[in-house]
Amino acid sequence: MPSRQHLKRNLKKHLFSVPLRIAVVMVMIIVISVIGYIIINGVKNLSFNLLFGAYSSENPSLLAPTGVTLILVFLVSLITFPLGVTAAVYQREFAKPNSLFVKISSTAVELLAGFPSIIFGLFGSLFFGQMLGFGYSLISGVLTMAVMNLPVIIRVTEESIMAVDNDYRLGSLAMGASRWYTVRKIILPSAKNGIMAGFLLSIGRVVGETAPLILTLGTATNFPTSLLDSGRNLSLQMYVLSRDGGEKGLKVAFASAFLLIVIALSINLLASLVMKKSNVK
Amino acid sequence: MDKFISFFLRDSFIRCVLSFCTILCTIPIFLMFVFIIHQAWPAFQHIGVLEFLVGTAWKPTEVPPHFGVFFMITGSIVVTLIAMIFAMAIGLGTSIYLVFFCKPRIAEFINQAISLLSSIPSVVFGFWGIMVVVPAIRNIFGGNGNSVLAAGIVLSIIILPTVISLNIAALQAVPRQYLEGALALGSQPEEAIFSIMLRAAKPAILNAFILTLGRAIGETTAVVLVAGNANIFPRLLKPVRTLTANIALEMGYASGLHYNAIVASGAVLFVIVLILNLSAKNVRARI
Repeated sequence: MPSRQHLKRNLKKHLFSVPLRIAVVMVMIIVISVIGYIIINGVKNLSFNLLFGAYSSENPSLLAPTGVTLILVFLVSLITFPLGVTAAVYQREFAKPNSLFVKISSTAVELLAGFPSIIFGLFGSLFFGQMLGFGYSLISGVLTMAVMNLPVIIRVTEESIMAVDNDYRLGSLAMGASRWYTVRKIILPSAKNGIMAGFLLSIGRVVGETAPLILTLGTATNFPTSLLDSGRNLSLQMYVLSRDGGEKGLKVAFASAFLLIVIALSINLLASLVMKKSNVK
Repeated sequence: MDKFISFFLRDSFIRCVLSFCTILCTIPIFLMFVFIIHQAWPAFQHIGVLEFLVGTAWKPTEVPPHFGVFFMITGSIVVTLIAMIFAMAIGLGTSIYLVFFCKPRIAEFINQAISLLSSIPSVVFGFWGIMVVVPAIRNIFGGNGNSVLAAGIVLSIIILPTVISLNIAALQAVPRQYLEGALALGSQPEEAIFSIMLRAAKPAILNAFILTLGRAIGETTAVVLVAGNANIFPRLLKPVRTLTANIALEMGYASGLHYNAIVASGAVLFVIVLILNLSAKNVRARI
């Protein structure tokens, strides 16, 4: 027969562990209900015409928004990847660790990485839109997203560079190689996968971000033919349609949500594959 | 020619190029400060800082116009706090389970699911909120469903992955010896975890809390879609307008003083987030 104390202990044990299990189950329910709901309804509302047809008020094709999403990703990475990686390399490999310049720039990067995206949108619309006169256009959207994304890329690159074994660095320098040669031949190759994974994750953010683009890219429905044209990407399309799209708009919004999730998830999958590769090595 | 090429590969030259790039990356930050303050200044000057912060009426088109963001500040805070309560309750529980109670293979699986959740764009959550959460609240509690509660629930799901991963990191940072020591002294695992490990992880959990708070208060799209956006005092089942929603909704057509007032509400948000991030940094320094 179990003693009184034993019972009490057992009760206590369950008192602690049952809420934990409930929490985990709730998380899983949330994941499944959100993703399942979007995928089921998205597939239902997807059609060839909606995906690839010409745009009309009858058939609000998703071709242009998808194209804008991809262009945005491409242009933003064109700007942020080289700049971000070089800035990180400079801060970690070239600059004196405690110089004022590094302190200022790393504090700035840290603060910037934690700022709300709408603040970047506000800045983008003030600076690129008004001051430089780009208005609502692809270029103001791209530049704003670039400013937003730079600190993220700098941070992940710095982390990957710091993770490189210091012996490699010292060994190379001791053999008489220059700093730049060391960076090119030793540091960057070993940090490559980490940098790529971080880069892909930050690109995933560009795909889904909406708030700064409301203020900079605008919401024109046709495909932008120049950098100065306005356009809308998939997430803006969703935002507009779910605010005032009516019955039909909701269907298109479902389809865009599905596409958006597919793009975001495949980027994420790619990132985790690259990450795994870096761990195996 | 060789000499010419080798000049460009010299460290001193590379150093110049790289430092130039770093400067290029740092400039936008200062520009941001300058521009937002510069454009918000007229609003603070004409309306008055105090008037702007504690004023309750936001009527930009009336003559004379009223610009007060008090309800929006409280709205932002209330929505964020509700989201944090939900997310912390579920997230902390999940991370304790994953770190201490779970088999590694199941933990791996749950982690995958959570990272799936984190890769979904916030606008999708907003849309899901419109289709699922808002009607549910309308059916259960009445009203039109666009409410503080809806915004809080959707926001809590958005920040859930962040909460979980930060809390897992916080718990894993506590030396495992503490747990082993407690177990060796004869305490139950549950007792050891709750009274020793959690206590040791407290500063790191606080840091996670503040960091997520900063992120949650800046979330815009999803909140705009489900919050109803009426400028009234935030009550659980009534619509609410947050600072971020105010910017996203009105920036497009504002002009003159109205425009400056919008930027000023952005400046208020800016300051709130800055304070949160700096205090998180302070907490981190003490860990």
